[in-house]
Amino acid sequence: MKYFKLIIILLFVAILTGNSFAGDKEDVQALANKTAEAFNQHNFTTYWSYFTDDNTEFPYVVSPLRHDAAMWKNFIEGTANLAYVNYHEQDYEVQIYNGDAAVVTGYYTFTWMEKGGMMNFQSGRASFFAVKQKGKWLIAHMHFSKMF
Amino acid sequence: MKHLKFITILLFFVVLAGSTFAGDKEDVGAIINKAWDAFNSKDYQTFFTYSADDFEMFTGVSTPLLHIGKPHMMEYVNSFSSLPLVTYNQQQNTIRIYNGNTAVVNGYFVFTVVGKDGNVTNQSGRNSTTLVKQNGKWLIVNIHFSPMF
Repeated sequence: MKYFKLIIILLFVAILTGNSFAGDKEDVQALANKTAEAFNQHNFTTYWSYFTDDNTEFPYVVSPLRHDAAMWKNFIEGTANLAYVNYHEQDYEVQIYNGDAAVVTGYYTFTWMEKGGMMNFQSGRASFFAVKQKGKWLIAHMHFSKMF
Repeated sequence: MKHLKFITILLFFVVLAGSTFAGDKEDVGAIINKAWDAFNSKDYQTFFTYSADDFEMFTGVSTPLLHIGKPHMMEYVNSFSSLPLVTYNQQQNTIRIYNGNTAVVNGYFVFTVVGKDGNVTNQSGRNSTTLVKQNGKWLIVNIHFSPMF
């Protein structure tokens, strides 16, 4: 009975520790999920809080050119004019380097509806690079491309 | 005259220090250039030394799926050896360094392949490369190629 109690306490501590100190991979995965969620909800203030100030992107709509932070801001906030947007990414591969850099790859679907009711759909490959700054994971670069 | 000598010596050290301890940006730029020079010379063994063991890549040809691991990439690159000419040129690179140990390089590329039948195909696109400093050496851990549209 004495051992049983000890095991229960140990298990409890182990579970608590696991939840409190999620690994870097889990943190980066959470960053990916929260970024998509903020975008889908048009919650741009939250969305930008997940990016470095010097972020760059290669999008796969509108223009193939490299976007700097200002261009990406214009593009993302321009989606507020759309009736509906949904970005979904899956099959994530998360790699952590030196405890403060991460590379994430996956496949995405992007659905959007214009105000006239026209639906659009795109699927492709996505990769992003995140860096830990002052203890917080932030996205520094994203690259989207089509399936072929 | 004494001051002139002092300034000259000081300038000499400044120039020497600048040349000897090139910054991370310069080191990363040099790695990118050397890697693709090796690729264009079909010196694939040298090309492979610039990538990490857990290298991953999205290519713009062959398959849209993620190449996972260095052996997968090596198999893909080695398949070019039988072609008469394969060249890759990347330009307009921007290089950013984070925490002194990670680099993100973005640029535009032109990839030219001459097939055995003499047909030439050109592809132009965008490239994102991530490098990580491991044991003091910059290694490529991820590349994403995508065509222009």
